[in-house]
Amino acid sequence: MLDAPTPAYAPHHSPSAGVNSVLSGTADHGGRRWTLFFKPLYGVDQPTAHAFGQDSVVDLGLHEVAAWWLARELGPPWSDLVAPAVWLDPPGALDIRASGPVIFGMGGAPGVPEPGVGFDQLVSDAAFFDALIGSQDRHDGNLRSSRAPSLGLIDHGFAFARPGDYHNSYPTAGFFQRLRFGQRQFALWHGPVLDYSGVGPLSPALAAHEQAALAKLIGTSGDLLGIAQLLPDDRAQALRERARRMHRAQEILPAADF
Amino acid sequence: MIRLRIFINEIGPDGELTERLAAELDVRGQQLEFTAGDSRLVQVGMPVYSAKYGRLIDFDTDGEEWARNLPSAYRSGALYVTAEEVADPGASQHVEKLPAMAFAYQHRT
Repeated sequence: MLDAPTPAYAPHHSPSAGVNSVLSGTADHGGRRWTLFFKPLYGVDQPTAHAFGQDSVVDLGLHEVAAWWLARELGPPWSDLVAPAVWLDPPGALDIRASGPVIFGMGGAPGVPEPGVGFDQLVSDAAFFDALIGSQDRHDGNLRSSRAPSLGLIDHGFAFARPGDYHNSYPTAGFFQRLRFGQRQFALWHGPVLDYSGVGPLSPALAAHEQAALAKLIGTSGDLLGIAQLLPDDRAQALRERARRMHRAQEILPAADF
Repeated sequence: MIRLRIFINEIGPDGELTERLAAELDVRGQQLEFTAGDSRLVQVGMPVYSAKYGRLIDFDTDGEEWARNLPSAYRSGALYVTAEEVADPGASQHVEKLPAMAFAYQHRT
């Protein structure tokens, strides 16, 4: 579906290019319409990216693709959770900043409905994935969900962090990992307390399918199922080390532990 | 005074994207007045980069400067923010623009 011809851009809300521009569009495939998001690199807010230790806008864009690649290689449940993403070089583009990831529009709306009843397994699987990719920015708005329940993980630019890199200080950042470590209430600054007491008891201890996924990832020839091709050496090594640490400890890493 | 509008979108089972204004608030100095919508979406603690300060700041650092820069904090495609400098109730100047654009994306096999 994503192997499509040049998109024809058209203003959606504003004729001006936006800060952190995200372009939305649709693809007709298989008799239905699918929502896609295109994130050209020119839309990256570079000072913000720098604060997160993401000084290469190309790497930042590739992280969306790398996250999907990893999820796809690990298989279910992660391949069902993570938004598929591929790289798009618009034909005729002369500047790499016109390129970027095209991301499948996962169903639902931002946020997990409170109190989170029925989301236990989805939360647990998401926490494993975020710990593995070194997510720096998984707050309660960087996801899509519906009451079905369904969950989609989106926005993986600020990921594949290295030890010491910045983690978003927002109270819900590290959302799934915090839930898996037992946190159920999130007090927002100057705002309400988010209550996810409907999420059942979870444990950071690895489940069998998570142990198998880590063994698969670090048991390969060192290229991390191909993901190492998409990452700079230091970020690939950090991913390798997180996988090894989780495998040794038999539990996921907490938020901000890269 | 900075008027913030927070928009979210939802993708339905049929793949259709619908957007709506989810929350609106005014920031005057360090005063924050929530005027409409879902207060859970007003992410006051979200750090944003400020060129004025040369670093990430939050609401408690400088409310209006935080609000002015909040649109740059979002690039997920699911939620976006507009910031508008409102001089008085009768006149406003748009200082930040909507980040979402669209493209028509036709599939051919």
